Amino acid sequence: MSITDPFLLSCLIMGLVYFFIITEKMNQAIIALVGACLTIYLGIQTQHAAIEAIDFNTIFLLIGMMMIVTVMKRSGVFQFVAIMAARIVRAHPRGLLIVLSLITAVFSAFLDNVTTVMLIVPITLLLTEQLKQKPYPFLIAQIFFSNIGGTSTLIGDPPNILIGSAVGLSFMDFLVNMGPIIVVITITMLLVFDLLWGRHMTTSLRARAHLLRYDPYEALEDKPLLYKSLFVLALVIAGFILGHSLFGFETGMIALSGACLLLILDSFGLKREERNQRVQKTFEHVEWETIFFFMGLFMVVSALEHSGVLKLVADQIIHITNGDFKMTALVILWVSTIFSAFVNNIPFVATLIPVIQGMEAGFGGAEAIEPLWWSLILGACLGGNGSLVGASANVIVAAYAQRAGQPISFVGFLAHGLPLMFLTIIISTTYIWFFYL
Amino acid sequence: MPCRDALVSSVVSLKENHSFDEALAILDKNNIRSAPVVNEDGEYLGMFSLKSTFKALLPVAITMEGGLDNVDFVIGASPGIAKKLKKIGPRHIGDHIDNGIIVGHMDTPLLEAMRLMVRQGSPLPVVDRKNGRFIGLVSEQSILTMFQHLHEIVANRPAELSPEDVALLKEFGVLE
Repeated sequence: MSITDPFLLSCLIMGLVYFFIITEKMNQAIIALVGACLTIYLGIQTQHAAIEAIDFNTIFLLIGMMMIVTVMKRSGVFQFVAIMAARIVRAHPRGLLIVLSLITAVFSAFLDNVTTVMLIVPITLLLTEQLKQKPYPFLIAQIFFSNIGGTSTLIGDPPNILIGSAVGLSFMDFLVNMGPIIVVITITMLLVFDLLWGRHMTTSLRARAHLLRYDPYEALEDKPLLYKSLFVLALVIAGFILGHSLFGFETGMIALSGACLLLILDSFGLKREERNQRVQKTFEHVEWETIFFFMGLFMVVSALEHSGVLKLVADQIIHITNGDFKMTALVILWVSTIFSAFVNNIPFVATLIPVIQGMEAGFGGAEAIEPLWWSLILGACLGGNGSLVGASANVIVAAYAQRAGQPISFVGFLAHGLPLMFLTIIISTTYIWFFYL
Repeated sequence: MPCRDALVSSVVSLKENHSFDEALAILDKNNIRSAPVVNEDGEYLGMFSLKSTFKALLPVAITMEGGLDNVDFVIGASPGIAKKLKKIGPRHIGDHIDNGIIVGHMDTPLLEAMRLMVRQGSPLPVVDRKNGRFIGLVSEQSILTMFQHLHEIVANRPAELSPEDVALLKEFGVLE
């Protein structure tokens, strides 16, 4: 095989992209785009084919949700919910650990995990300082529950968006298949966190009384905006469920139209200049780095597909597992877990999607391989809890903890994270085994 | 016109091992809101101010980057701020110095110094470009005073202007 062979070249480019993503020697979006350009310059695929490989449904879904969250954030709803929750548990730290974990799980099921922790961590630090508690268990719980909650819906975590869009799994498919197992994992992990930390937490009545005087309604900075954004969010989720099943609308367009509607409602009646400014600000907050990272990856993966690499990998996996479907599902679950615990799960999932699609013929069609998708999702999302670098949300929480003078060490987190992650994966294995295989 | 023309060089300075109590007493005694912090060799380390003290008193959830934008929901009961002032009193100010302020040098143009002050507040510390030693401060007052002084010279005592200044002013028609 010569060095100019597209097969070898596309492998080399993907290797290069992975190398820079793992070593963090270069910005991930830039290296993905450089890899994409190389695939075109070296003649592995045409520009037309590369652009066609970009899944704009995923891109629009990401952009739309980012815009909705940007507007919604201004309303102060997240602080409101956290303070309300603290009041419900009468400001007891043990209860607070549970309710803040649940809030994180629910929010990250519907919003991006990074956004969720960025909103919940600052208020957590304030509440724990008021209650004179070490924030460590609360922050670890938020890392865990952001990844757990994100697993349950189509829009909860980027791997889900990728898989849902590529395979055509709907919002309801996710809720029905992932919902029950996530509820089980959530309850188990709440018990574990309570056992490890919650039950030892005590505080003075005085500190609790201080916290109970917090006025959640003061945290709501813009009530009309809250109503508008909740209305739009409900509409978008209804659109994900009904729009897909009744009319076959895809999630990307629904999210994008939701974002447009919210921007219209948000800037209605304002002067032209102010209106434009609001819209521009919202666009500025879209994480373009993430968007271009995805675009680059789609193009690099498409080169691997064109040159036949992915087909070969798919055939090899079937060969290694002797065409045993059960074995393949478990291998996907565990390999994706281990991989996602230490490396960004997005390129891994983006590469594995066409590989698994390549197994369709061998295992009897698209419907027959559905369990493989659930295995991949559980592994890729829950694997993120294995180490401090397993998911972007973990890195953000660690950065906040550092700023707050309460650093979370890599090894310290590993000691708790890895065993707890394995617990969630054992539960997932049992679930996949009994319900799908 | 460079910074040196508006420099205030006799300035009270602090050491990083001063306690909050000592540093605040020095600010109070001299009726100032901020002072430069220097090490044993006179090298500039940063500024300490009443604002630095406020920052040390507030919960970290508010002061950290990406922290809470608004805390008006904390009614009446702040998380023990008054107690915290007593607690930090004996601590060294070293960790609470503001070292993010952009400094000026003797040859920094006044226009740039004014721009920096509009952005990051007054005064602007002036530091030796070569050895990093603290030289003095340029403040909003010192610049305005210098401008008024210049006006006065041009109006009443043009003879005190340097030959280059006179040539320039004539060229631009300010002086006859």
